[in-house]
Amino acid sequence: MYKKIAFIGLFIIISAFSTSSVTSVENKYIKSGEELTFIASFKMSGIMTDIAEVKMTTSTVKTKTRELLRLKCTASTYSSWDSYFRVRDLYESYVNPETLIPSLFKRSIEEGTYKKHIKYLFKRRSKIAVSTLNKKGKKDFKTNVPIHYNTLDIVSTIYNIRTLNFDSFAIGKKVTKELIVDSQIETISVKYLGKESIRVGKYGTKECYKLSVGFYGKGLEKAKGGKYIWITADDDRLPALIKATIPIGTIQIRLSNFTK
Amino acid sequence: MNKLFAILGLIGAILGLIFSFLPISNLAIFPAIIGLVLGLIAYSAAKKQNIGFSFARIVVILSLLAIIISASKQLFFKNKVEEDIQFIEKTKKSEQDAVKELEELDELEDLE
Repeated sequence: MYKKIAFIGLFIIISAFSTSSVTSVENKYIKSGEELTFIASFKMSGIMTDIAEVKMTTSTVKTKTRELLRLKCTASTYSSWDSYFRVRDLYESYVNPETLIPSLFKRSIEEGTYKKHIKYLFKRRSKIAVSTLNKKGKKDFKTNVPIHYNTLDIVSTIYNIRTLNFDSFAIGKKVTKELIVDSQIETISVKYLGKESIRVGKYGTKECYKLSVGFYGKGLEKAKGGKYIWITADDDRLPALIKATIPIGTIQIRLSNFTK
Repeated sequence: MNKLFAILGLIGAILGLIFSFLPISNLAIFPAIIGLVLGLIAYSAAKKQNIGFSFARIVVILSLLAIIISASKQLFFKNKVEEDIQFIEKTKKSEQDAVKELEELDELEDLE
């Protein structure tokens, strides 16, 4: 159950921000040095239980020929949960700082005794992503996945969504995004539901864009259900709150700290 | 009837106590309150009928204990993530590896 919650929770925070599928974004909101901290909770019988801390940070990475933005996302269970079900997940996306299009994505999962490492190397010119999967330290399994110019990974999708101009969106506008999940191309949709003021922890009440997220494709079947996300309607575009309903309760991920 | 209330109350109190020691300690409040209410009913009924009420008293005490432990954990213990040196090192190494992989990718893309 916790593995499912951890996956869905992470997936929602990571994938809930997708939109316009055709053109790449022009990034003016996401800069290096940003650090967002979230509290991931599970609501059962009307009572909220905090399970894990999710951190999303951005930093600059330099190679011999170019400069990229590293989008790092980690999920760690609180110490009280560690002896029952310890989670240490690491998601990284290395993207072009202007367009937020990824060149490399890495996902390293450690959930209880379950371990999995996956890597996508985006060869944009050849229009393929080389996927390397390693489960429990066994031999690497490599596959080539056909991609389009704007195919994203799960982490860059979040950041992509934050850069969209929601003010120009009509209420009810639905947009889709293509991303690679578990070595398969999947589609998610985001519906703009208008503005709503919500309480954002120590930052008080903030006006936010409310979005509804939908998932398509077999790989994302388990992430189906009512999922909403609130992004602050300011220049920071912070993902303030994420709510997802699953059969056994509700997952909530709320922003607790922000530095840039 | 008193006995039934006391037994059901005891089950609630024990469940509350078990929950109060787990990370889901805030859920302990439900069975513990049920245990407390049933224990108090059994206690007052036994007292009125002037029969032994020590069992009911134990149910009340255990329920209160579960509520106190659960409430103290909520009030005085702050959720925190343990500093994990291995995980920090792993994220650093992952970045170093990524730079190499990206440089290899750049070379490959240039060749194609």
